[in-house]
Amino acid sequence: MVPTHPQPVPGRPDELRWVVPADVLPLTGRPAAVPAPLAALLADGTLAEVRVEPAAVVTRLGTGRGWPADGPRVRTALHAALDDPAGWAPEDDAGESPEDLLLYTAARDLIDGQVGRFARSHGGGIDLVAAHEGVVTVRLNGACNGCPAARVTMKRRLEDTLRRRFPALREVTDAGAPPS
Amino acid sequence: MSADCHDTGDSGTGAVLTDVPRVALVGSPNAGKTSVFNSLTGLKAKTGNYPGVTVARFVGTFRVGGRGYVVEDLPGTYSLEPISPDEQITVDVLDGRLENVPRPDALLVVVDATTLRRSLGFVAQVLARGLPTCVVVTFTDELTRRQGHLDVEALGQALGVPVLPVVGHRGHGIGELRERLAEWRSWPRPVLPPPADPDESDAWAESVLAFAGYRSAERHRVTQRVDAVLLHPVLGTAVFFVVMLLFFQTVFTLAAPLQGYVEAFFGWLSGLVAAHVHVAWLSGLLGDAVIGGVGGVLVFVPQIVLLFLLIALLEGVGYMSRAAFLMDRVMARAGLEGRAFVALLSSFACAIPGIMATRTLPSANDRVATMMAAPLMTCSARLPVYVLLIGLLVDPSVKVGPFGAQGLVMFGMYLLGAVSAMLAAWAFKRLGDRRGLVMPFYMEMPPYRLPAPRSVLVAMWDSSRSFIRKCSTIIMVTTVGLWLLLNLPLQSAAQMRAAGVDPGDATAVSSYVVDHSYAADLGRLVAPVFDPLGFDWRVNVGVLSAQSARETFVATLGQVAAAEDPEHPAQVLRSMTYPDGPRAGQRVFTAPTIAALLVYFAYALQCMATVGIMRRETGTWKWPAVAFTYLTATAWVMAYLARTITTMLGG
Repeated sequence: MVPTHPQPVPGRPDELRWVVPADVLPLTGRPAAVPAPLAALLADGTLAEVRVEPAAVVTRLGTGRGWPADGPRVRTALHAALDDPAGWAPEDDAGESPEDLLLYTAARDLIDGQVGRFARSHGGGIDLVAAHEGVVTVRLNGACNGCPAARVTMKRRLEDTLRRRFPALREVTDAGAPPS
Repeated sequence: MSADCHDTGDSGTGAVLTDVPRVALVGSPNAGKTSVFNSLTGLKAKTGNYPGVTVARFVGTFRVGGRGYVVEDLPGTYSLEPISPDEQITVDVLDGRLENVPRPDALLVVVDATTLRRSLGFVAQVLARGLPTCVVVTFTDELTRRQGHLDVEALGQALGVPVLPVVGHRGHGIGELRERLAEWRSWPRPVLPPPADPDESDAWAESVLAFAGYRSAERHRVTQRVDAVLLHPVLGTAVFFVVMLLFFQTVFTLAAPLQGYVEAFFGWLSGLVAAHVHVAWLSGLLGDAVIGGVGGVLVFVPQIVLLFLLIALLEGVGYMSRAAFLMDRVMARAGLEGRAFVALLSSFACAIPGIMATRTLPSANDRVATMMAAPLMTCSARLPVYVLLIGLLVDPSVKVGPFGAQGLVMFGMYLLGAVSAMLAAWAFKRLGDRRGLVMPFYMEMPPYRLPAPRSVLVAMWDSSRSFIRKCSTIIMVTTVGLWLLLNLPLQSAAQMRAAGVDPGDATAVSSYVVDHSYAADLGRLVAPVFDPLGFDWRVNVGVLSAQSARETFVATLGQVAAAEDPEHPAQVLRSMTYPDGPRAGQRVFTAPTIAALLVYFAYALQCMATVGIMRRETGTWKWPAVAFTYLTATAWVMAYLARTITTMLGG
C-alpha cells in the first residue's frame, strides 16, 4: 500500500490533504479521470473534487458530508486508486503554469499557517511576493528584519516545510535581503 | 468553569473534585511514562489499587495557571488490544468502563523516540478513542545521539495533535508540557482519526514517519556490544550467575554493618526501657515483645532495602529483561516463560511483589503456576530464621575451602528454595493446562540506560515501606499476642512456692511462668504433630506463631530464651533441653532438629500476607487454600526426611 496520511487544509474544513510520496502520481492539477473506486465516490456525491499536488492528493467533500462518517471510505478508495497510478488521467488543458499556482498556494498556506505563526511568535512576519518556476520570493519583516541569524533560520524553516509539500521547490529567496 | 486564582487553598491530594480536569498518561512500558509523571506531580503521588484487582494505581496532582489537575499514570501497554490484566485496566479506564474511576478528560501519550516506528500503532489506537490527546516524545536526546532524526513539529502536523518533546529524567520540556496541559480544551484533534485496518494503519504510520523526517536510531553501540556478551548462551549465563552471586554478596556483606547499627539502636532502646520503666508488666511488654520481637525483625531492614535497591537498579539499567530472556530457556523446562523469572526473582525479596509481578503474564495458567511457586523462593522473611538456625547448627569457624560453612549452608537453602519452586511451577503448569495453549511472548530489550536516581529510589522506597508496614502491623500484633500467651495466666506467689520456686529469683519465676503459660499448653497440644520432627513445645509455639509471619519465630524464641536467661539468650537456645516426654533432658537443638526446622521453614507457607495477596490476585480462596495445604504438607514430609537423613548421617 502506498503510504499516506491526511492533514487538514487551513481554512477549508471540507478539504483534506492526503500526503503521498512525491513520485507516486504522474500528474498534478485536476485529473480528467481517476481510478474507479475514487470515481464512484465522486459520482455518488461523497466527494466534490479531487486535486493532485506534487506530494499530495486533496479531496473536497460534497455538501452535507462529514469526515468522521465518510473519511474511512475516502481513505479506502484513495488507497485503491493510489495502487493504480495508470488509472489517473492528466487534465485536458493544463492552463497557464499550474505549477506556479500550486507553489504559490502551498507557500501562502504555510505563511498563513504554521511558519507564519512561528515568525509572529518571534516578533517577525513574512510577506509572500511571488512563486515562479520553483522559486518562492518572500519579504521578511519585523524583528526578523536585519538580523542575519533570524533571516537564515526563517528561510530554512520555510524552505524545509514547503519542500515537503512541493518537492520540486528550488529555493526560497528573500526580497528584502541586503545584497551580499 | 471558574478558573480564578483564589482556589489555591483547597489544593492537596485529598478530595478529588469532579470539576478538576483528569489527565491520564498512557504508553508502553519503558517509554518514560513514570519519569514524566514524577516530573509533573513532583512525587506527590498517591498509590492505591484499581477496584477489584491489584493493579497498582498512581494518581497525582499538579497546578498550572491557578487550576488544579489530576494526573493518572495508567499501566504500561503496547496495544489497546489487551492480553494481560494490566493492559485490560488501561483499556477499561480509557473507555470509562471501570467503576469509581472516571474516564479521563485528556490523554498524554508517551512514546519513546527510539522506538517510534513500533509506538505509532499504539498512538493510532489511542487517537481513534477520540479524547483530546497530546503526544509526548521522550528520549529525543538519545535518538539524536544515536544518529537518528525526528522533526517533532512535523510529527505534530502529521498526527493532527500537539506533540512535545520531553526529556523526563532531565526535566526538559516539562514546563512547556504544563502550559500545554492548561489549554487542553483547545488542543487540535485529528479531522479524521487513523485507520483501524492493519494495512491502512501501516500505510498511515509509514507516511507519518516519512513526513516527520524520521530516521531510526542506530542500534545503541554500547547496548549492541554488551548484549553480544550478555545474551550469549554460554557467556551470558556465566555472567548471569556472577551477577546473581554479586547480588547476594552485596545484600549480605554490605548490610551487615548497617544491621549492627540498627541492633545497637534497639539495644540502647531496651536499656532505656529497663532503666526507666519500673512497672514489671509494662517493662516486659516493651522490652520483650515490642523491642525484642519487632526490633529483632526490623534489624533486617537494611538488608531488605538493599535487596529492593538492587532489584530496582537492575530493572532500571535494563538488565532485568536480559536476565528474563536468558532464563526463558530454563523457565521453558518448567513450562513457563522468561517473564515468570522476574516474578520469581522478586520473590527473593518477598513473595508479595513476586506474586504481584505475575500480572505481566498473559496466561492465567502461567500466573497460577508462578504464584504457587513464588512462596518457595527464599524470601527475606526466612533470612532471620535461617541466620538464627544456621548459627546454631554450624560453627562460624568451620570452613570448606575458601568459603565459610555457614555461608554455604545458606546458599544451599537458597538453592533448595529455587529448585523446589521450579519443580512446583512445572507440576502446577502440567496440572493446569493440558491443552498447552501458547501465549505470545513479547518482551522488549530496552537499550542500557542510566536510570533516573529518583525513579530507582521511589521504587525502592515503595517496596521497603510495605515491609516496614508489615513489621508494624502483623508482626507487632502477633508478638504482643504471643507475649500475652506466654505470660498468662498470672501465677501467684503462693502457687510458685507450692511448686518449689523462689518468688524472689526473677529468672526462675519467668521460667516457671512461661512453662505454665497458655502458650505452653498450646505448644503441648500440637506436640503429636511435630514430635516426629523433634520439636519441643517451645519450638512448636515458635512455628505456630511464625504462621502469621516467619520472622516471628525469631521473636518468639527470643522471648522464650530471654525469659530463662535475659543476659545470654543465644546460649540458652544452644543448651535448651526437652522439659518432658520421652526425650526429657536431651538437648533440643541437635543437628537433626535444626535440619528439620530449616527444611520446614523452606517449604511451609507461613505468611498470612502472601495468602491474602493470593486471594486478591486470583479473586478466589481456592488457590490460597491449595497453596497452603500443599506447602504445609510438603514442609512436614520434607522436614521428616531431613531429620531422618541427618540422623542416619550421625548428626
